[in-house]
Amino acid sequence: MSDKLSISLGTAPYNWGRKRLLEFYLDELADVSADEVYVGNNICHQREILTNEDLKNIAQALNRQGKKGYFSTLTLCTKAEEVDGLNEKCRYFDGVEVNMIGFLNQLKDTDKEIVLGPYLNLYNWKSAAYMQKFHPVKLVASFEIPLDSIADIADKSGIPVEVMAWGNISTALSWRCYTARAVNRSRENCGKICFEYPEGMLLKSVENEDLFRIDGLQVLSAKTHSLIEYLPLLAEKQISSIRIYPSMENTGKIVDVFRQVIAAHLTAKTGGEQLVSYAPHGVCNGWFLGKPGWEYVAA
Amino acid sequence: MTKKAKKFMLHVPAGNLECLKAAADSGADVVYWGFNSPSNLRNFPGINFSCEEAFSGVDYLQRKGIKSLITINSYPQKDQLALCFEAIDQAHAIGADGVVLSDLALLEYCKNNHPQLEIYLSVQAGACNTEAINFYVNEFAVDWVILPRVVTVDEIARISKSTDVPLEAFAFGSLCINCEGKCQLSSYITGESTNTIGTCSTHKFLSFHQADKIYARINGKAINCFAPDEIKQDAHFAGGLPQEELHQWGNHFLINRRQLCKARYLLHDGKSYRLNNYVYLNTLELLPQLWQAGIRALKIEGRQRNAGYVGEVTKVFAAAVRAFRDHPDNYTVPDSWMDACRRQFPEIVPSTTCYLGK
Repeated sequence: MSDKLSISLGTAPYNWGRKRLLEFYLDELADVSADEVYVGNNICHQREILTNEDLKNIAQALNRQGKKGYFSTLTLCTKAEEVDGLNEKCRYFDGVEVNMIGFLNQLKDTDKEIVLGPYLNLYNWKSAAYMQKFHPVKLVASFEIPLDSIADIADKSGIPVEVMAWGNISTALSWRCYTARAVNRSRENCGKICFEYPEGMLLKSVENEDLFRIDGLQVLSAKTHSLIEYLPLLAEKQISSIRIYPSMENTGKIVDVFRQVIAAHLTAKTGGEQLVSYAPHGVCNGWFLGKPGWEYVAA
Repeated sequence: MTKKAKKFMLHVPAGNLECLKAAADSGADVVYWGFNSPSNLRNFPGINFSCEEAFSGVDYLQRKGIKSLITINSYPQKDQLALCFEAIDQAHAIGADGVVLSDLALLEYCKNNHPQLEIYLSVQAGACNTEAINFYVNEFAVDWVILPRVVTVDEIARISKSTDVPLEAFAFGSLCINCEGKCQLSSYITGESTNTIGTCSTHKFLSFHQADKIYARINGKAINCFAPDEIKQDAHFAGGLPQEELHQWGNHFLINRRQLCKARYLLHDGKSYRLNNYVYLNTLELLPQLWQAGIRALKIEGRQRNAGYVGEVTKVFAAAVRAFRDHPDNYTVPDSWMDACRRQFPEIVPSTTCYLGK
């Protein structure tokens, strides 16, 4: 299996703040065995706290570490200033992950590798194949589609497919900032309050069950989506890479477990057991198996 | 239809032929509906059209000079792709004027195979900025763009200045708080996705448990609970109900609040509507600003609603559109219009927050 699945790190979820992001990308990642790294902010324009100089430094650091670096775009943009400047932001990276379809207009003449991001709503192989005209190097599967649909896209579209294998799942994006609302502020006057919640805010049901996390404009699952037990199946279905969303503290350890399972130095079951402590609200993988997202089905 | 139009077009939903006729007879310029299949995103039991009913609907509308649109706005997977292609073929075959689409494969199919069908970009495509709109215009020559309810009037004005495609906005009905096409809350809890199956927290997943409080659950996950006196306090009109009727009313109350974005959750400050209060959209008082911003069609939401709703709301908005066309500088909203709208959502209050600020 080792030659079939590469490991990508998705964008940092939540608002970690500029200092922590720079530490993470410039220092810590040197010891994390990811093949590709996605840098940027998929959620909120006000959270774009890395300067173009920071992005340049991160891209160059990733290059020195032998990792491919991609700039990853916003998803929900309603203002021109949220859309402008993409070519400058991705200048020093190997490529760009597009999460809002209009960004493709700005990339017609680019020499950057284009990755079709998970927020583009490509639910079938024909839609994916339509995107071949933009010469994408990869497509990241929408989070909610099951393996048989993902495999169909991988099989028929001719585009290598990446699948999310670890992290809290983004389940909704809104015009409203839920974090600001939680502290009685508007989105326009949020004061970047999400910076004070670098792991989001836990939403429990009225029966005290952990259901979601709110984080700025998005609602995430409280549970951690995990496909550690399904890595052999992913390789068998011609999936080219898996995506792990980083965490504030344990990214290196989590990637290491996935790496060992891919290399068959650990069984998938043992890998799953080792990851339990990094998923404080439990694990889920229902969407991958065509079930409600919160369910977990052991392989 | 161009941006030089003299008045708003009024786009009205129909869940069945009775609704279609109510829309047509009450002042709609366009009636939109779906086939009874997962090809559209109001795939609820008991609504939508067979091919024969759709043909009959188109015929009825054509005789009145009203446009017919078929909504085929799901994101099909695998085998559903062929079903959606077939739905576009059927829309053409029955003589519909246009289709409402969001999936790239369906847009491509329609453009290549049925260029005479007008393409309305569905709200589900989530095109809420000029670059996204231009993408769909350049790639598929879409004729109209239906804006998601995530853009303010000011943002609409900026978008409108930089595109020639006419823009449609939601004017009345249920209000999604999350961006259309980007909400998988129902999918996460029930396994049925708004994007693919076309349903959101459907009744079949709803259950109640009555102990000291009334609990409502979706697929086993508690979305709300009320003590009887709390229902009385929370509801705007339940104050006068006798105790014995409160539980019955409470069940009705909770059925209408079953969406996960309108659930109550526990956060640090206790139980509250953390994502959205239960409100409905009513833009009657906002028509001048929407026109000024460049909106040229008003969309009434509610293909799942009955003919009474369709007829009543269409009459009110048709009157408002006429009044604004005839006297744009003296446009006012009489109480009778607001009251008629309020009767469609008696438990809750109207809102235009999504268009005014964030």
